[in-house]
Amino acid sequence: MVLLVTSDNKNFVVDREVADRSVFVKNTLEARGLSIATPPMLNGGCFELTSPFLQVLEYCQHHRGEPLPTTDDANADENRKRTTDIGEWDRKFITVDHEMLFEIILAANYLDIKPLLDVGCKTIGNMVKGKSPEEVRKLFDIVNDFTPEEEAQIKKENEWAEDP
Amino acid sequence: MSSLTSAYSPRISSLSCFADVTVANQSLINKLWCLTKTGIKSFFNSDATKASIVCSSPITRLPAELVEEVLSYFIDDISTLLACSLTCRSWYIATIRDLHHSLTTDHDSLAPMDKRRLWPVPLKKMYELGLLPLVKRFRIRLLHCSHGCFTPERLDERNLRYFSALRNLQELGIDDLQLYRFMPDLQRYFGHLSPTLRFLALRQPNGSSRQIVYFIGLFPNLQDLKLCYTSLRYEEENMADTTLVPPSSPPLRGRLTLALFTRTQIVKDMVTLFGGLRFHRMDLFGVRCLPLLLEKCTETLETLRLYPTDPYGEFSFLKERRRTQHSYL
Repeated sequence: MVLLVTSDNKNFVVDREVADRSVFVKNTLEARGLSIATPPMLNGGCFELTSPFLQVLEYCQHHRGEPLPTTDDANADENRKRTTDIGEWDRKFITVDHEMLFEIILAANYLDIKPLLDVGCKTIGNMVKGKSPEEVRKLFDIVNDFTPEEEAQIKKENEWAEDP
Repeated sequence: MSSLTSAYSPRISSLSCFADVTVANQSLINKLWCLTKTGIKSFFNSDATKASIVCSSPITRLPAELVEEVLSYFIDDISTLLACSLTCRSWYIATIRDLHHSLTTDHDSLAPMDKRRLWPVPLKKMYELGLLPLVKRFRIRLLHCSHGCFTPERLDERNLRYFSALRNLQELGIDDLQLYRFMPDLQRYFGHLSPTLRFLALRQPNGSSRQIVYFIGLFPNLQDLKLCYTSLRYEEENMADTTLVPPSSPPLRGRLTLALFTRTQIVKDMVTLFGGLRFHRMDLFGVRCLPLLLEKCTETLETLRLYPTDPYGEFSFLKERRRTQHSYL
């Protein structure tokens, strides 16, 4: 068992197999020969960690025992990027509000849980896919900070980009 | 219990919000030059470009590397990438690398298509915008007519300057490459691609077997080779070619795709000059030299796909081509 403590001082006792889904935690424990770790202060510790961490633990619990992706397989990485399909359980799991979605992605990135990061990024990707710039801005509440000249310039550049 | 936070603080600092990324008072072109010369990462970290971007969404908490990760899923969905690039400045910066990942030019002169795609217009425009170093995949295609061969005349001094700016190209596809016309200066025209090229696709290359193998040998890091419709038209070897030795001779590895491939001599020359074949995957259609390929790749082959019907559309290409040739006659 491994004790994980969040930045807001909540304790979580989890199976080593579950904790090892995080490459960050796994490497840390192995490097230091520890069975106890104080995990990350995500985003500098300026937000409540417990909530996304619970979600992350749920994900790790569900996927425990599955093989971890290798980091040196360029082809696998390329193939992964060519699909935005998400498994049924993962899709239900990641059906959360925007705020939580981004917290989970940040947590997955920091804890180095590549499959969860993929699920999060693909989810955002699926939300963006096929939308116009205005629709994307509205979806994520992004302000258009281009000048008209810049926008025209980008459109001009993009005349030469096309589907392969 | 030891605290790991301080030990990993550099990582935390690298997760700074991409909303901090700025765009100073410089033109987009200057920014592009900055990106192409020093890389996107350094642009994000540049003190010279500090300012603020007005974004109010939770998505602004994602660091630039994660925004790039999200947008990289659209590498083959240019319309979505275009939309994302026009969303806001930081997304523009995050998309630019993938947006200009691929470039295609057509060397048809009669095809009823968008003339902007005609050789060398896209290459020239991208060169002028300083975007060619971002291009990873370049396709020079022939869509319709029969007299649009890719010859050295296409790469005159000016066009060769543009072509040579493709310094980071990983994938190259050329239709109707008249290899025998490029001899003996292949290195001059294509040598700059040697360090980076991983995938090469040739459709209807014209030249002797030795010339084709020599051309393949220009790219020592090749992992994926595709040859389509290599006819017997140039099967007869030029006597001078028999002494032609490729500049590098790594055993060919990775993936091999052959379609309508009747020139067994090419495979024999590959075996002789490259010291063997080490493909782990082969996708074959209309191939005469199957026994030889299987024999030479016995130790390495993991996946073999034999297609009973044309999976690459080469038949329709040929049909259209013959129809057009006939109409010219």
